[in-house]
Amino acid sequence: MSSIVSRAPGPTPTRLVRFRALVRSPLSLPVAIIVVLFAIGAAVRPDFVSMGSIWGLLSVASLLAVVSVGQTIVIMSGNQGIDLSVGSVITLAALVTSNFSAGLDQNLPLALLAVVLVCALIGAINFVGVYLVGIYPLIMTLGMAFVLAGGAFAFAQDYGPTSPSPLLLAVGGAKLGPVPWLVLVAAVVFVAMTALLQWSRYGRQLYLVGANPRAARFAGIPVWRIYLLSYVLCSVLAGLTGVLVFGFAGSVNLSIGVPYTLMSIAAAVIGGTALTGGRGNIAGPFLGAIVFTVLANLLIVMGFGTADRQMMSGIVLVAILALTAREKAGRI
Amino acid sequence: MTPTQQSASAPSYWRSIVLWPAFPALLLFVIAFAIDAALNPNLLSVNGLIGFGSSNLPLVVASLGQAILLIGRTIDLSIGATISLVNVVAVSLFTAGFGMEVALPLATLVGVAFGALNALLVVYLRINALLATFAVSFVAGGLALRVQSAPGGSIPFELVMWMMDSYAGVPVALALMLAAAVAIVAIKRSTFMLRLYAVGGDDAKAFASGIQVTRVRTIAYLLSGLFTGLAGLATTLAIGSGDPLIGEAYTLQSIAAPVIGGVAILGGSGDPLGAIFGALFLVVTSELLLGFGVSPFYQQFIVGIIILTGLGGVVVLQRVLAAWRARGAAASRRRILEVAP
Repeated sequence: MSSIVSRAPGPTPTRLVRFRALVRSPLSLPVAIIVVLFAIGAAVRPDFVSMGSIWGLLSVASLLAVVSVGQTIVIMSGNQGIDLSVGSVITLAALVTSNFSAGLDQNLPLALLAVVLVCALIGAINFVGVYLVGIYPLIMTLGMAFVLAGGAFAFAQDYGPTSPSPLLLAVGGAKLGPVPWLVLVAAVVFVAMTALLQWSRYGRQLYLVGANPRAARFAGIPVWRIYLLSYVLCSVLAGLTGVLVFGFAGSVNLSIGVPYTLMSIAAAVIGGTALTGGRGNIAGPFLGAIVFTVLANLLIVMGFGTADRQMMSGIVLVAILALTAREKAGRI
Repeated sequence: MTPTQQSASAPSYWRSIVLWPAFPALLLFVIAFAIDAALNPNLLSVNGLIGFGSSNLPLVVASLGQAILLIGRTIDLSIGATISLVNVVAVSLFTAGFGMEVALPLATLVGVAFGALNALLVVYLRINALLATFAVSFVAGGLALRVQSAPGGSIPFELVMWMMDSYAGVPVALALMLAAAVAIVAIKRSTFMLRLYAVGGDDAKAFASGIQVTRVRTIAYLLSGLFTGLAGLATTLAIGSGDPLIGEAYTLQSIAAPVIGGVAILGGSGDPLGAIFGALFLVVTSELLLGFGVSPFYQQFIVGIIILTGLGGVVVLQRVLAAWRARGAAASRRRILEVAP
């Protein structure tokens, strides 16, 4: 017995070991990319790294980060999990908020309740399609995106959009001291979701289900409940993003959520979430969202036009993905 | 012996049709088309078929390219943006004074080039296909906006007229659709496709049995790029002008069509021909609703629900058919055991 104990004397945590662990962490790469992008920005224009510009950047990143967290959870739940309906959910949530609040603060709780209920229902339907009917998540949520985009279109014809209420406008644009409200909301989401994943039973089971659903089932985990909660959480977080986007933009249109669908997936993957499931954390999508926002700002600062900006972000995205998201070769 | 053989072969003939992966989509399309034609008899006239063919040819061709990729267990999210790019490149080549013998092949080559780029990223750099082709869609979309920032331009009038023409009552667009179907049947019978099914089913096993996985997938991307280029040409001929955003809707529809057509998104199964029925079912249902007098505002919503129901129905039907197939296999095993001493 004593020989077994003496054979595994884990490495003493020297500074070198700790440094190596830091470098090997999946979060070190997005952080490095952010630093490099900021360095380029500072070289182009010194005030790129001023406090004001950083807070502005973070508040834009917060919008993408909140929806990416939901996307991350669905991807982590494995079983090919992915949610392509988040963009349409964002649009629909913004429309519902606009209609239920009608520009008045006192209606905001009701509007939020409506958004949460509608989005939870959408998530539950996604779950039913994926888990009970057996449609692949990519296809199920794609179909859901079709339905919701059509639903949003029909909804907008019957109920004209209004402006956000003063409170929502403040959350979307104002600051508390130096810190934008959007960043505070994102910080709350970050803390809550990290706590959920680290300490709740659901969070711990999510990792196991994502890594190996069969093993999870044999271990007695109610796998269906994990999937249900993951899809519902994702849709609700997308709905929250819709509310925030509405406050941030000050108006709503039918394509307001479209760009978020694939960007949320890319942000999750850049942040170290494995598309095969079971691996990832909440800090990842936040860093991924920041990467995207810094990149977009950098391209604007460098003076590219719309077309060139789109092209350049595609090229840089390819480069980032080549660093972060390479797969194993299909051979033995 | 002879009568029993006949009675055994007749049902098995029907069996093979019903068990064909593309069968549910064919059935859905035939039903939807029949209802559509009953509501709108004009659809069956030559002019109706010309409109039907020319407006739906791009999606049919694009779906075939996507179907090939899905069978090889990969995907292309840049199809829509590339179609836009091919469209504006063709129009600007015509505007620059090139004839169609230069403009059309060059524009098609743009599609092939983007297929090659996708292959480089997905097959050789091994970036996840979903994300890599999504990034490429930015590049293609940005280039399209660069070439032409707003809708406009025109192509030679006789090209548009040719697309709207018919020979002996057969619309050119429908004939082209048929040609695409024949092409995909020919491709399906090739050794390449046999290898692609193996790669899509399990690439490690395919590699172990001596298939050059990277080469097969690269050919799949090049072929799909060719189909995308042709879809871009079909779009150009159908609308007669350039629009840098024309292709956006095709990306997701080109994925939905093969899946409705029975091509599994996890690769290795399905018939690419099913993508044609899937694509036609998609477009016929949306026309159908207008025929029923549904307000255009609700059209997309209801079409979405029909598509989702169709997707779910196809999955459930496939499961039922798989159970049937398994039962048939068990029965034939029993027969063999009975015959054997």
